Amino acid sequence: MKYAVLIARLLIGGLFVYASVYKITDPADFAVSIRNYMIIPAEWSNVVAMTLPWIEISAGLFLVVGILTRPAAMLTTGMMGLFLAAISYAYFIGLNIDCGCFSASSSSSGAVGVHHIIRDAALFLASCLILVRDGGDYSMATKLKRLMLFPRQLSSCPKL
Amino acid sequence: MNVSGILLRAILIAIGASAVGLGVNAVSGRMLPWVYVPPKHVVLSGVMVPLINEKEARRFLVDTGTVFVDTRLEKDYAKSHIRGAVFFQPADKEERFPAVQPFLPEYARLVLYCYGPECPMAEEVALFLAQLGYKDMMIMTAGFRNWDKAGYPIENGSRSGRTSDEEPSSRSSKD
Repeated sequence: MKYAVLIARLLIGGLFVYASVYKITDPADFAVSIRNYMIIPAEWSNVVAMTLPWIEISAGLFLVVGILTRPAAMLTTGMMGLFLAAISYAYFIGLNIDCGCFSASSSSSGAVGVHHIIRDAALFLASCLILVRDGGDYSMATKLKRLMLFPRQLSSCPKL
Repeated sequence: MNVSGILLRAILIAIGASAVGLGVNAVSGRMLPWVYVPPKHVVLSGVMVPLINEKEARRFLVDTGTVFVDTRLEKDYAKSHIRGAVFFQPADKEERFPAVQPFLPEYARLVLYCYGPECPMAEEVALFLAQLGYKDMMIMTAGFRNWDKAGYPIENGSRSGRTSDEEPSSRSSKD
């Protein structure tokens, strides 16, 4: 199980870091994407675009490195839940299907489809797995704790 | 670590990360305002095009000098559209324009619309028309979805202008 959790941590953490980079570099564009979903009031879109990508990158890095893994997994699970809900909503009210806004004309992210919903659901479950089953294996926090508690055990030099 | 401990730490990470995001925005060269204020107009090829909602657009429906332009896909236009709207989508606009031109006199006020605020096609058509010399245009950013939701007049059929002999089925305004 610890390997499954490790793989999930690297997968989810890596994806969150990767996905947050473009949002951090162009928050104005991300704010437009948020407004397109029409889920939150448009007035809030800028604040969400300024803050959410930084929560994503922090949680992602914490998962990859293994610091505060379960709190970070709680954040990624919450965000995946939100993304899953948003994408399902967009799909079921036919936002993209109707206008081809994300494929044919000026936008570029591709039409929302069932495959996006399945992908997000799988990532949501992987994130849940970390939250529920992480035992602190392969984590920097555990390594540091051991180093502080048992510094001699880590020394491989024979005593002369 | 119990659930409340995990939650507390998660909240602290989120607050810390958000503070970093707001700080980075404050020092970045392209600072965004915290509260988004929707633009009142766009300037397309030198022409100022006001952005209006469905209520404002509704007032122009009875104006004989105003033409509504539907920029959605043809199948959706055929299903239903704003009463009297002319169909003109941005794909192949150069080829389509000669057929649509008789319905778009240059002195008319044009109200363009798409599906909803997420859809850029009304703006694409407005840009094309601005380049051709049309000066009096508005974009109903609320789109057909909100017009329809408000119960404003719509009609079915695939005619492309007001002058057709065909009498399409229609719904009158609720107000």
